[in-house]
Amino acid sequence: MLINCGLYSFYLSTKIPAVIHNTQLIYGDSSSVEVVADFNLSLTSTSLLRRFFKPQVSFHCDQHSPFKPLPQSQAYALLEWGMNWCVAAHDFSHFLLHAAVLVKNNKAILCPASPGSGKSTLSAFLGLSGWFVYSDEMAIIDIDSQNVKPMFRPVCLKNDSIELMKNWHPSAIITPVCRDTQKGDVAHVKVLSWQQYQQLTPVPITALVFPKFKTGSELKLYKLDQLDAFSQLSRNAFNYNVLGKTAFTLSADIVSRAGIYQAEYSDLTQLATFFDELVQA
Amino acid sequence: MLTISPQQLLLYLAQPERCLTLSLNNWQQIILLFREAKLLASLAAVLERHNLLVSLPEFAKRHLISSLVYADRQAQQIKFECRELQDTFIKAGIEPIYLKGAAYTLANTQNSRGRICNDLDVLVAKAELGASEALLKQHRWKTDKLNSYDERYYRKWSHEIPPMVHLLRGTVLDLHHNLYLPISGRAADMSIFFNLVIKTTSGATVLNPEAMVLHSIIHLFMNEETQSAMRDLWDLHLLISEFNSTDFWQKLHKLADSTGFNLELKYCLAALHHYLGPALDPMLRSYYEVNACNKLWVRNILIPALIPDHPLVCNWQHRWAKRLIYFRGHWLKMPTHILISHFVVKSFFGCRDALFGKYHFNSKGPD
Repeated sequence: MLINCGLYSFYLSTKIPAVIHNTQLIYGDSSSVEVVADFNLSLTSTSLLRRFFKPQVSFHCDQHSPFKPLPQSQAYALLEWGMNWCVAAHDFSHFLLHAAVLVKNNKAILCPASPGSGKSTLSAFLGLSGWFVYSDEMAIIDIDSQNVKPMFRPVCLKNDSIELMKNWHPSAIITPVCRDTQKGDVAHVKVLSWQQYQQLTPVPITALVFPKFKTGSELKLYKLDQLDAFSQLSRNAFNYNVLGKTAFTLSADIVSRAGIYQAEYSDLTQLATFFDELVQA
Repeated sequence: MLTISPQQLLLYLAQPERCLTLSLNNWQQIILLFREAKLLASLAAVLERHNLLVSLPEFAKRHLISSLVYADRQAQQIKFECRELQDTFIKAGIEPIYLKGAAYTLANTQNSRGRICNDLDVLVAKAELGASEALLKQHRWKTDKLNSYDERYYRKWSHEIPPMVHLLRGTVLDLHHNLYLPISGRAADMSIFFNLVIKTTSGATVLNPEAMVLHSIIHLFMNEETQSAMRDLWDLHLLISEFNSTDFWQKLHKLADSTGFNLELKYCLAALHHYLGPALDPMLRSYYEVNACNKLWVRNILIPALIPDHPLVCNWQHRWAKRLIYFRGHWLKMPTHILISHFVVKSFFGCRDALFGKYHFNSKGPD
């Protein structure tokens, strides 16, 4: 089956029912007419014995398997991570940053942050309330225009945020939970329809916000200096080492043009208000 | 499904204007195949050199340019690592010779642009091996822990020591003291090769044209692995085209004779004739035809085994050919009694992994 993520497309062969079901749920409304796949993926059982005893599934991109196999119950999460890996390991025509990309009024806010900062929850929250999520994990930045491009992907929710999201948005499309993965319990939530996605265009980066979730904290904002932001960007880039000088110049340009903030928060609505201010005017 | 015959693969590189008529579906296959063969960036480099990249569909261009960015970055890294190594070795009075990919990049040969390497190959004299290894260890190169069998394999029988990895940069270095395994009885007389060297403009030492080509031939045609065979054959084609002269051929034949690799040279000419025939200069083509080894097994096993290991081109016959070359490669490497025990050990691990899955006993992730 073909998975069209807009910017990239994947051909997937698998017999695992949960994967087929979730793929339909998340990507089913996209068009696969006249699309050639960038990557050939498969999700298969690892060995003869393993088919009957603690079944495992392994991810292949064409002939290669970059990860260790996982329990079959985590197959869909493995697919989503595998798709990220394909892009990060092969696309050197863009600058790829480990960051959530949130867009409103044709302005992008990038949240480059380490796992656990709450950027996925934030992405899902904003994505379901008027913002466009260009990605919850990977900013795809055009090297020439320095604009960030949209991907048609779900947001990966972890642990408690899955239930929170279900309560806030009972009608949201969320995949069944994969339990006990490396990142804990995960589920994927659809934040864009294909129709919406097709309206999206590359947009300039207005601000860099480094979110930090802290239980019970009021929203606290700090201005970060450019040097800090630069070092964070270079550390969070997937292909900084390959792009070399290009990535260096690009990071420097981004931090010199964008507003840079660190935001400590516990209440997403407070943070959302601040984000709204950033993209006004 | 497949619209490209395996025999035509290298022709896309040798006659890049063929790429202009490829459909998007063809491109999809070419990209998968060439990536697997480690030739995607080489194709990009050729297309760029002929100013053809701009005329290609966006889909193809994106993948080709990405692969070239990666390869260029690797070339930059090779130059950097070699500068570092050069400093380290020269202070200790050792003159390392760079081999294969590193040598192509340092010597800036035609095939170097877009060439993907797995590791850095460096050659030193046997007498300097211990000192060189100690020196590298002082400079943050370390050896990954091997099981005792593999460790003994390298130390006792091989022409190189176990691969070393740079602690900070992760670069992999193979330190050689010969071009082929001494245990095989076919190892080259290294005193000949150590005299056939030249200096690159950056001051690094590499093998001279005939020695460079012969080493590349030994590597390709005495090897049990055929994974990168097409890339190696493309290397040979470009190197030979670059060095091509009466003098070069005389020296190459003389060297192959004196080191006992004459037959391998003839295999090489057969393979080049088979895969690049229509693109060859007529003089070279008839020269290959006359001098190639045309034995039945070369045509039916050796040549088919060189195609990329990818289901788009590899049918059961190719897979059998690859398997036979795999056994031949081992048979060439070791005397029979050692070979038998080697296969017993290796097949035990193989069966175990097939039953329980590759990572059941192995805490290390995939490469």
